[in-house]
Amino acid sequence: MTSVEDRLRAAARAAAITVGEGTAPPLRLPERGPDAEPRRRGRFIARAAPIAAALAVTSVVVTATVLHGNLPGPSPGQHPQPPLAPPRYFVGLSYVGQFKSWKLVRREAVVASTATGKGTATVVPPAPYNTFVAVSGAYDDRTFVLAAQRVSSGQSAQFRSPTKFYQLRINPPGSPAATTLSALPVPVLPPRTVSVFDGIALSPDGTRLAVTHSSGPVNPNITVYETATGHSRVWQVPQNEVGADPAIEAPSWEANGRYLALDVSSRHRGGQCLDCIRLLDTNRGGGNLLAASRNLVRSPDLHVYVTWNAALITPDGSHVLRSAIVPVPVTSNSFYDRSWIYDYTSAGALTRSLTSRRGLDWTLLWSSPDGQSFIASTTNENQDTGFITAALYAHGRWRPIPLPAQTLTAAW
Amino acid sequence: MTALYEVHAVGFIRLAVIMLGDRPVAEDVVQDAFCGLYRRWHQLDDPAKALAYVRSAVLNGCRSHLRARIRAERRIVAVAEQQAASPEDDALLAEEHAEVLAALRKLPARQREALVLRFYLDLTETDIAAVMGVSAGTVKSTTSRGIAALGRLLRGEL
Repeated sequence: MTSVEDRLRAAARAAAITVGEGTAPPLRLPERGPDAEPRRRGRFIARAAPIAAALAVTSVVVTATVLHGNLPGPSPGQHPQPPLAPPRYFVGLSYVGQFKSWKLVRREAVVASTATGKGTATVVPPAPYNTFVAVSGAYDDRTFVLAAQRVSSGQSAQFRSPTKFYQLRINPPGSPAATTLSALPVPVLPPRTVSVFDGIALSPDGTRLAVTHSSGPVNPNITVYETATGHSRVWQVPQNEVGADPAIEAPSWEANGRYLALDVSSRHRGGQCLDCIRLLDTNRGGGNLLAASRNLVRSPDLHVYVTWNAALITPDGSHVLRSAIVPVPVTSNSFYDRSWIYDYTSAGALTRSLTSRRGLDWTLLWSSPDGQSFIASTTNENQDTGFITAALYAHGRWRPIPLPAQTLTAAW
Repeated sequence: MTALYEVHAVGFIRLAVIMLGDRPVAEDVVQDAFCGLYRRWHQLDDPAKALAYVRSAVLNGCRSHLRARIRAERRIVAVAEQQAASPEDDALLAEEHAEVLAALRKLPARQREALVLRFYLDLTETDIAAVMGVSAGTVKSTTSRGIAALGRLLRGEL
């Protein structure tokens, strides 16, 4: 019998010759010369939110009540104080059932304890939706927003399903149900308007929802919805300002609920710096994102193959945390990937660099007011499952945070 | 630069196709690698090592793309659907080869990379260790585990 090694050799060579000689496309070199910015690849951030009130959710209840009209939630106009310590509860999105195949793409929301990782309530999307795809939370540790879609087994949902937003409330002890799920008056986003769900961010007071649309048939934009009314404002990067493959990603709010940090990137830079973290004043009218925002942090030119994964502005607006995968030279011409988390001041000065062998694609989920402690997650290495592990960085040390099984993303 | 690309682009695209199973993405990865070389040409201590640089860049690009697929799946996409070769690609491969490649693409990224470097590029364990930035012992164990897992996949045990 032919060995596995021989079968692999033959298959690899057979695959290789499907690429015929002379079929390589023409080389497209950067238009702006050797100093042009490196291309950055996609990243994802599930914006987190902290605690203000202590809750005691003890029962496991599935609630899918769809409410209309006024929604319970934080009072608008107030600026909640960001918590100093990680919130007691978070909401994770987990695969439904035992993971067997990527074709089982349905996932549910699990309310869980930060201290123990134990789920206290499980929420499934109301029909016709059957999976949640993104989550973000407010500062009160009881208000979250979930994005829901409908998928069929084995189907890629992101191009085919409309997206509906729901508010998830963790109810006080003694309530009939542990949680309440309410449809937000935010318009249902039609298929293909969100090519990749690069991020949502609920404002600290829960009254605004930022949604990034990075590519696809619509121009890259950030849309901020009023969660009470569904009214929205849109800021776009003008097409004449960007090169190929522009993206707006990783939204995160300052505690004041007014300023929103965004990672704005482009494969080829246009007239302005587009490879940086920008701060958008959401009290200004919609329109040109570049006009309504200013640069906070410019991505350093570390290496052509740096992959910037996530960004998170601290609640006090004084720092920006960023994660990146940085190729580390092994020899003069070979590299190995290493993960880093960088801490910049809002003036763009690098103040701290952390590295870890635990994972590569760190996502930043929560930060203390000044960024001295934060929660980050990473996909489990050597598992092509996408399941994450999370850890709290505080006082110079990492401490694992237990998560429910098969968690894919989480928000505090 | 252009001459270098014309001579070697197909070989690098082939490598990326084996890693990723996606010709357009493979072409993008190779384009990016040469763009990186273009930007860093003046920083190379030995221009004769340009090809080694591009090979590392292509492999890094494949890793990044594989990670991006996982991130995308965490959002919405079914990775297996993406990682499967297209019908057009399948038509070009015998069933036996398609089965092996499908199994290869189910392996963890590092095992997949080690196997491709070893059994497609025929690199030595020392060379693979340099490319992957790990010890030769790790290469040996990763390759061994990868072959074992590939065998189990082909036998339908996984």
